Order: sequence, then C-alpha cells, then structure tokens
Amino acid sequence: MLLSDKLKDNILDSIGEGVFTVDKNFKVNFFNKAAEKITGHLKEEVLGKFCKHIFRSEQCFSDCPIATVLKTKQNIFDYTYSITTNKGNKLPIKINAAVLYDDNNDPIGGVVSFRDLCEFELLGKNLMTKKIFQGMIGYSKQMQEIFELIDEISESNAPVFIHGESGTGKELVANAIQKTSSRNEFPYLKINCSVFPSHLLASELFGHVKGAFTDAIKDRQGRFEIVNNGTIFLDEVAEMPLQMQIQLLRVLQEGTFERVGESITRYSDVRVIAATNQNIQDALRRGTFRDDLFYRLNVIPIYIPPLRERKEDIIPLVKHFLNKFSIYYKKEIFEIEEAAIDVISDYSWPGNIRELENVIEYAFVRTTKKDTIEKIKLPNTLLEYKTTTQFTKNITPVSITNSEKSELLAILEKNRWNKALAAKELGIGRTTLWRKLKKYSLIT
Amino acid sequence: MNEMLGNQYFIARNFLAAQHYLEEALIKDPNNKFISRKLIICHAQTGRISESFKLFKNIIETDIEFIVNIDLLDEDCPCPEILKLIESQKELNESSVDYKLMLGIIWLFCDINNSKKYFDEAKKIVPNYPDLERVIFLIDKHIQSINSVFSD
Repeated sequence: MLLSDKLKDNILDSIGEGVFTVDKNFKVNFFNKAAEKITGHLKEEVLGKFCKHIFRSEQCFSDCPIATVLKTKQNIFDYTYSITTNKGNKLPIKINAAVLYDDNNDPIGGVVSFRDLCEFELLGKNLMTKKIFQGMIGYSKQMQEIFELIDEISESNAPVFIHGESGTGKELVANAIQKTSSRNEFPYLKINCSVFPSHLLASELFGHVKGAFTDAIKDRQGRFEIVNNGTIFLDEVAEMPLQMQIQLLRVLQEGTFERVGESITRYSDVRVIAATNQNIQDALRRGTFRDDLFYRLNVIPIYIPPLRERKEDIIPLVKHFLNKFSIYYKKEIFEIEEAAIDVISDYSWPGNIRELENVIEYAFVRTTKKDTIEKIKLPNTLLEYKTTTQFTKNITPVSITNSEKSELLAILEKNRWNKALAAKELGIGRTTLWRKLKKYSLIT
Repeated sequence: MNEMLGNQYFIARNFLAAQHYLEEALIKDPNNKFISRKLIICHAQTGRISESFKLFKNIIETDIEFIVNIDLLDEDCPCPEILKLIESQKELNESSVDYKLMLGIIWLFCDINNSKKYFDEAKKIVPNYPDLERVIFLIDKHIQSINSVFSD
C-alpha cells in the first residue's frame, strides 16, 4: 500500500527531529512540526522562502550541508551547525542532510533533519549526573538504581533506612536524599548514635533542662527541636540503646518528645534518615533493635552494595580520587599502571570506598618522580592479597591439604593440643580429627 | 547536480564558484533562462563582461520582462546589494565601457531607466557596437511600452 502525501506529512510531523526539505533553488517546501518547535518559525511563514533566510546561519554561506552532500555525494550525519531562531537566538543543532534526486538521477532538492543540540547537552548532563550524582560516583547498575530511587523519593517525607557495609558511602546517600528533597532549605543535622552514652544521646536528640543531670547547667535544645521542618541523619542507628529506640519511635509516630528532665511535650516535624552497617536482621533476631522501630524507619530501604559487588565503579572512583589528591597535594598524577589497576580490581575491598580512598592516597603520596601510580607503590595488603589469590587459583590439591594442615596446627596450638577442644572448634568428631592428624603425620 | 550546486553558491554569493557550476548546467540545458539569468550576474561580477552581455542580450531579445520584472526579494536577486557595493567603491574605473555595460546589465534587474542611462554612456564610448545598439533599442522599446500603458 502506498502512503498518501498527507499521511507522509503526518508521519514526519510526529517525529521529534526537525525535518525540512528544499527545492533545487534552496527554497523550503516542507517544514515539520518539530522544526517549527525548534526554530520558532511557523510552517506557513517559511514555505517558499530561501532556507538561508529562515536559518540565518553564517554556515549557509560557507558550509551549506546540502552543497556538501552534492559535492561529496556522501550524506551528512551528526554535523554540528548553528542557526538563528525566530527570536534571534543562536541555537546549536546537529543535522543530517541528504540530496533528493528525480528519476533521471538529477538533484531536485535536499532534505535536512536536525535536533536541538542543547537537548543533547542536557541529555549528556543527565547521563553524567546519573554517573556522578550529588558527589557520588556510580557507574554500576546498582548505584544508578540508587540514584534513580533518590530522584524518585525527592517529593517524599517518608523515613529512609540506609543499609550498607562500613565505607560504602551511606552518609553521601543521606546527603543526596536531603539535598534533593523538598526540605533542603531547612536544617539538616547528623548524629552518630554509637558515639554517645545513652543519657547523653537522649540529651543530644531531645535536649535537656537545667539541672536535669550533673552537667546540665542550662536549658538546651535537642537536635529534633533544632531541625524542625528539616532532616536528621541518624548514623549507626542500630547502636542506639533500646530505651532511646522507644523515644525515637514516638517521635517518628507522633512527632512528640520531651526534653530530658522536663514534662512539657514538644512537637517537631522532622524527616528521619537512618543508617546502619550492621546486619539488621541479626540485630532484630538478637533483640538489640526493636521490630516496630525497624518497620517505622524502613519505609524506604536503600541497600548500598559493597564495592566488591560493583567492580565497575572501582576505576571511576580511582580516577576521582587521583583528581582529588592532585589538587590536595598539588601533584599532577592522573594515571595508574595497568598492573596496579589489576591489583586494585582483584582486591575484595572489605573497607569499601573509604579503604580505596586511603589506598589511593597512600600510593599517591609514595609516588614522587612519576606522573603515574605504579603497582609497587600500592600497600602490601593489596599486593599480598593478589599473590595469595593467584596462589590459591593455581593451587594443586596438595596445597589445599597443606592449608588444612596449617589450619589444624593453628587450632591445636590455640587449644594447647587439647584434641577434644580442637575437634569441637573445627566442628568435626574426635575420630575424624584423629584421622586427619594421622594423615598429616601430626601424631605418631 | 551542477545547477543545484550553482544555485547554492549563487545564494551564498560565491559568484565564481556559482559561475563554474552554472556554466556546466547551461551546457546541459542551454535554453534554461533561470540558469542564464544567474550566469549574467555571475559573469558581470567576475569580470567576464562580454559573456555576461551576450547572455543578457539573448534573454532580452526574447523576454526582457524576465529580467525587468524579477521579484528581487522572492528570487533573492543580489543586484541591489551589488549596486550598493559598487556605489561604495570609488576606486573603480568609472569611465571604462565594461564598467558601464556591467552597470547597465545589473541596473536592468532593479531600474530600467538607470540601466538605459549606463548603456547610453557605454554607447558614447563605443558608438559602433551593434549588440549594444540592439540592447538599447530593446530597452527603449520596453520603456515606451511601459509609458504607453501609463499614458493610456
């Protein structure tokens, strides 16, 4: 079925790219809706006019894309051009151009499709911000999902519970949540729940009145009072004493609390972002963290994966830290040896990004003469880890048994050669232990 | 290809390049008045006055209105800008016959009376130039026909 001209026009009007065609005199004879939107010119105004009068580009006189196609007989793709819009603004565009031929293969016109380059730049910026989001670097799918989630919850006031190993960047995530939230103009306070004894934590969070305890020489506002309408970040919340957990639960449920030593109930509208590096399920099982508080806090859970589970983030992070230390130490070291990258990539990073940052700083400081971080400048922990894993990878069965022998010996030494205790610690029966000892000639 | 490329150079005011492609196009399509009209201007602007004059005479022999009645804006005719530029360039040899012929040609696109004035001045320099006499005759004839319309 052949398409009618009207249908063809409808199709061209429905696409996002601006499209126009010219006749062989370079007069516009088609102009789609997107072209109208991008240039600000109406179709009726431009039809029959010379394209140079519509687009008013200096390049029309020196670098006409259709003329280039005519000369080179090669269509043009993604060519950067600058036009003047109807309002007189310069607009960078990306264009594709082709020449239209009649049945005799004589050129009868040209077709140009174009896109607002600002849109490309915006898209590029968006992509960049997806990889570097609010100061966080995350090329991995897991991190990009977190960035997306933070964007999605920006309108919400619901509590957020950030889970992740130490050094994964929980505080950065909390900062990003606060920054992108509707409360970003209001106070934002952070408190590490593990560093305060329970009575001081209560005072820190809810305030106290003069005389409430020995050092309470005057009334003091607590953090919840100070950040009214704002956000509070409770780091290491699982370390919070159980009594405090009840008080926190009340603030979350009712928004009310009392200063220490006072019976006046105060109200505060605070968004809570909590974080823990503990296995919260274990803490719930052990009863060191209240179920009801967990469910209150865990409305929006965010799990930050450890670095070893998102290895694609390692190299961008390394580059980021190199840039950071270059500025800090005023040394131009922006490169890193391939061999060093291998070591860094293979390492398990138990201390996550914090450990990676420390490692890069260590190597950076040690690198004095070159502009590249060398493998040998990395800490021994990493170099030995590599050696060990390589060794383990190439291991023969004998090596495994040697390792078992070493383990046996270590446990026997630890238990002063008490075989019953050693067997218990190894989780094996005494007969099995005896057989192993015999096998490795540890007994006669 | 040549005509379209010539057209592009013409609207970009690159008369030398336009001339090259339009000449090729005219060989392929010798009766194309649109190509000829552009070539008249290109030749006039690149110093090939006799060739310009020859094409010019051929057109006005058959269809003087094709030049006189050109829609300057709609056809993006460069003649008004050319004349403006010439007026600002005082170093040109104003007494040469080529100069007068060139102005006579270009003026016909904009103002027939000015065109005739320059052709008359050229005739004073070269009185025995039959093609020029013929051009003046055709222009005079057209002026008379215009005047007769107004006198009626």
